[in-house]
Amino acid sequence: MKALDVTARFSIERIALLLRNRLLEDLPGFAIGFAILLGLNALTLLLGKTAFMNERSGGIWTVFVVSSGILLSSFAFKGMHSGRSGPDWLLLPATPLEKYGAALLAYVLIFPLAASAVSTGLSALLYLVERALGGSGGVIWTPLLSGGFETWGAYAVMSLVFLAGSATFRKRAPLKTFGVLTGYGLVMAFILIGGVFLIYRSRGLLTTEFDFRNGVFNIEGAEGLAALDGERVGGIYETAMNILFYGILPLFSLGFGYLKVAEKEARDEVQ
Amino acid sequence: MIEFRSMTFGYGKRPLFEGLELELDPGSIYGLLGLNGAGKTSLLKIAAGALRPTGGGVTVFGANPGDRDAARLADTVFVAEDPWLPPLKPKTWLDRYAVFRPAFDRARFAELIRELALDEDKLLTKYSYGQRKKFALAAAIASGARVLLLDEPTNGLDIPSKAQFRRLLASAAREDRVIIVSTHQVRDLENLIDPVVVVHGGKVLFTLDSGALNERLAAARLPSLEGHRVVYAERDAVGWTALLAAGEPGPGNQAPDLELVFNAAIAAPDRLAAALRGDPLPEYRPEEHALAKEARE
Repeated sequence: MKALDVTARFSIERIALLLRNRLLEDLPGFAIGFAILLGLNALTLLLGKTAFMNERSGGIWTVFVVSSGILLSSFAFKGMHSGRSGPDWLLLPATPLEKYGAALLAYVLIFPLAASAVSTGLSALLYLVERALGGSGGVIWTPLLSGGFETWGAYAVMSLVFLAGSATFRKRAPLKTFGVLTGYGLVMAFILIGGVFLIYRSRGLLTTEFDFRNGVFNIEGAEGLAALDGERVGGIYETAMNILFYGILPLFSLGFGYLKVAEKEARDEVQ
Repeated sequence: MIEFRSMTFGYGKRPLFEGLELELDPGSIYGLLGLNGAGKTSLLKIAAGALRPTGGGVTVFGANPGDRDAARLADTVFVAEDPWLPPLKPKTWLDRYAVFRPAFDRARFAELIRELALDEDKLLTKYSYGQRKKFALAAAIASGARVLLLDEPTNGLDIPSKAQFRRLLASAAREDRVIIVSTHQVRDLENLIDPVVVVHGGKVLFTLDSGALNERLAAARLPSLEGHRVVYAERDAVGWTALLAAGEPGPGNQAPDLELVFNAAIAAPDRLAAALRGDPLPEYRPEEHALAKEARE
């Protein structure tokens, strides 16, 4: 076996080894998840001659692939924070960039591809079994049925966010990341609503004030907004949201997550 | 060589080391001694690169370990007091983790595993505490790294295993390798560690090599301390165990044992320093050098 060159500042070989280790570590959990899905579908096939995950558009497959990928992303750096495994994680001979890069590749790219391929295979298998049992078979799920690249794009952004969360939070990383995201969303929404309110009112386009009824915020006098070019406003809003979601958020998460890994220290014993 | 230059480090606002100076040369097995909380583990972690100093500098063979570049990490092994191992069998562990260290000697590792009677068909997580320590030690010795940092390696080992550990560690010593062993069990490592570094109060109090210790100090069992050049003494039921300055006559005098020297370093540092310089010692007053008081502080 050819020895690894440790003198290189950045090594694809080391990333490949880290990636292999990561995937092998995740494999048992991944297999158990799919075994549970198969078991549940076998049950519904036995009881009602229908594989429930192939029903309608097979959207449950999408939910399964996306949510399991996000969950894995949110635990990606758990070992780094642990008081016991942390020093070994930090001192494994690979740079922080390589360690972060391997997690990035594993959960942003390889996991969704592998999980989609396995899901498509299982969906096809269930389709055949259901047909053999006299059922309709439902649909064979493929990633294209769930929006293809667009869904993957949204998944990739969320995976990056949860990777950054995992690099930041020592405990309950998925919950805390979700909390931060929700808080951030709410703050942004209030800023946006406030901005819209101020601008529109200053132009005399809002006839009344905010209104809070039945738990819902309304900006009364929305008829005034019709005076603006609705399509143009909608377009600007969509572009801004796309820049935020597909540009700023992933770039920020990428940089922040990497820095958290690079700065991590095993500071958890004598305090 | 490992160099700590004016190094400062602490947890939160509490400084653990302030202006620490220390130089450790290859070719030796250093013993790192200190009271609980003195920062022995932190010092090892700083040398490994798992912690970064807040001030001053650390270099290991000329590079900053805090940069965590792959070459430096492959050249250093830190064995924690309670080593963590993944749920893998030894062979799988080798395939997954030893590959990151190109100097790893698989044949030597296999020899060590056999010698330490470690079950190769068992998951590493099913190993006992002592077995995990032995496995981690075998991995460290076979790693080919030039820096071995061992934190309390003899804790949890049975008596035969301690002897085995001493033998293995002695065999791991090389001219180009720095081995640092932090320990409370100085008697377990008495004839292995040399020099000894005593850390106390955020500083290196002493770096003592066996040559200087044997030349300048002696230990003796005495019924009374009167008339002796006592550096430090501990009372027991039948008399005193005393550390005496060089030149002290007495047929029962022995080479100083490390535990007594360590206690002297903590409880009577000025007297020990004077004895090592060959300076005259003032009269010894046991009540002024109570170890328990120092340990509390």
